Amino acid sequence: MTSQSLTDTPVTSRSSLKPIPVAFNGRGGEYFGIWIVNIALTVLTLGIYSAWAKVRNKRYFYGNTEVAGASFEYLATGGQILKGRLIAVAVFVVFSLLSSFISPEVYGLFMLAFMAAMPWLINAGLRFNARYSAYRGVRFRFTGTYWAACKAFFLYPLLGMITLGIMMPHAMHYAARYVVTNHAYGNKAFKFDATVKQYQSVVLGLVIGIIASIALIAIGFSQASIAMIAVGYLAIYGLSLAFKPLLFNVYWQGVNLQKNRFEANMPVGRFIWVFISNSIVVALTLGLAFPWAQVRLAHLNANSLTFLHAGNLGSIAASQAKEMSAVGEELGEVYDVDVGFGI
Amino acid sequence: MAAFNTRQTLTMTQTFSAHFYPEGFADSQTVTVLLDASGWLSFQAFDKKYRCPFNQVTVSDRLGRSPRFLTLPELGRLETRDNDFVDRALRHFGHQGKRTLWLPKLERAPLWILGLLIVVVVTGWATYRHGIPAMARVTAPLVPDKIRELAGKEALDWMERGWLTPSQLSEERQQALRGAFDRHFGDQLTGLNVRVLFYNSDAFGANAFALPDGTLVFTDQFVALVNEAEFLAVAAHEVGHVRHDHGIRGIISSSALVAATLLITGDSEALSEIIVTAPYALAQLSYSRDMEREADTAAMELMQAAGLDRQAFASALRKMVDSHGVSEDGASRAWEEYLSSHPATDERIKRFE
Repeated sequence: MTSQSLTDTPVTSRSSLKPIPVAFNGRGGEYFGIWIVNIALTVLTLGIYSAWAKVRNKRYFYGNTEVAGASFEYLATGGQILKGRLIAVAVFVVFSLLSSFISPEVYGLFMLAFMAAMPWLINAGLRFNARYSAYRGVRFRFTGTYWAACKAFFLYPLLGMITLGIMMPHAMHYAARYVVTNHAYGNKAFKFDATVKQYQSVVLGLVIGIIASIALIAIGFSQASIAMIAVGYLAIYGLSLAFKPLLFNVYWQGVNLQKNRFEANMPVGRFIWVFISNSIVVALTLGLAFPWAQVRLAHLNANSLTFLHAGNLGSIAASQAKEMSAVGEELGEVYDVDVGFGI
Repeated sequence: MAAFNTRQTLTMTQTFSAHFYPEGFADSQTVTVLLDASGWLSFQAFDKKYRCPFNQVTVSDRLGRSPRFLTLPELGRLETRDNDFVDRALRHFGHQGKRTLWLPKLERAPLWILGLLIVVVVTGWATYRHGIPAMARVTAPLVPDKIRELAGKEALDWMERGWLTPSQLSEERQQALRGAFDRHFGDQLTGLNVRVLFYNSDAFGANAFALPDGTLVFTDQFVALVNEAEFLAVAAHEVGHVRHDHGIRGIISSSALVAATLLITGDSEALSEIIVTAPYALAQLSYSRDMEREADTAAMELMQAAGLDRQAFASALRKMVDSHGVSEDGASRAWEEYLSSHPATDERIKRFE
């Protein structure tokens, strides 16, 4: 492990940023042991241990992610998660039971209330996660508001759909910016300088690719060439997978904090290969290769990032933070509401 | 780096290397930490001397080779990869952090991992094979009929939108079939809300199915293919589905399967990133095959009670196989799907011969 001298003076020009590769040090075999013990204890305790298992899984991926010599810490406790999870499951069960006894009108009202709570759930999840994530002993924070989350996750995507996708790049940009700029590390907020144009070119590239593939399939049908049809379908599948690495690169290059930033270049072909081979191996082993697949993906994510250090991290101060409950986060998980910081 | 044996007492001063993060700032310095025999940690950072009793330090649990975090109250945090040293120190000084040392040991012991893997696979298999179906069987009667109606109506609406068109059969033919159905099975349907519907469907071809609310759907193509005895035999099979509440049980068991998997793997985020749909699909298919077998058994009983020849079911199945095997259009694909959710047809035919 290299030690960084981090008390040096801040630098301003981009060329003087010091590139430090982001590293992931986990190993599939090692994580398998942790994962299987987690599952065994979860089964033996009839699910109760799952809260501690979640913490251990998260801590494994945090602790093995190294940026500039320091690792990430996940600080939530199993007890906290269990409490949140129990309340969330109770709410879920009551809601599901109620829904079969009440009239459709009341049920509709319930659904509306639930829809209205969605932005709050997303925020609660992000807030909890940030609050209990730390780097160099300093915690993260999330300060997004209800109304901004409404716009980021519902109104703008809706607008994107109404305009047949023309506004979609704007919506994607807004959502990413919302998530990034409302995160803070200690007392300093993150900034996001990816442009709508970058999102537009990603979307445009994919749309052109898909149109070309459809054309290829059409020509394939007219000439009865199965090879052409197959290539067309494969191309569409590949393009849909290419979306993630392309967005990953735009997103992480846009994230910055006090002039510290990231270089991101996830190779599209490599991502598609990892994704497809992971899926096949996990399916063939009936899920047993899941830890290996997860570690492999974490390696790819980390290897695609380079931290550009401005040398001023040491001046960032921690900010006061109150303890908070995991109910919102766990409710979001029960209903599968999930917005990751890293997309 | 530390270099003393587990058994040896800490008589001399020991050191380990760490990163120090002072309280309140994201600053960092590499330090060499001294742990002396009286249980005090001391090191020098940022031109200052730091000292803290080891027993007041909170130590994070060991987790593979990932670094440990030592929280020094009011002073800051130490991050070290010298996991073995930390473990020995915890034991030596009777630190409360030693209580959880068994867990990381378990996670690294190949024999324990193998043993627990067997426990997980066996309980997983038993839950999936017996636990979940049994749970579905017990809980299905608790589901109010209103849900059955809703699910049945939903399913029918959905199919009417894409695959079913109004039946071309004459009213007399429909009445004749319904009459035969009622004559033979009427007295055995008490408590079941069974109704017989006919639809034309090029997509499904010759086919019949039961919906959760007790609606039995037969396609015109099916009616054209079979004689009355064969129609009744397949109808008995569909009544078997209704009698055993297979629609609701299927919904319960598939959602229980998803919920259990999510709880166990515990990470919906990663799950959505990596497709694990293939094992799911296989599992659902095997539930569905079990239910087909159960419906076949019910059909045998129903036909016996109604005084029907059960050979008719075998010949109906054979006719359906032939009809789907020959056609070259979309129907053959539907048939493949149908096949995979049903047990091997030969095996089923044998049961009825």
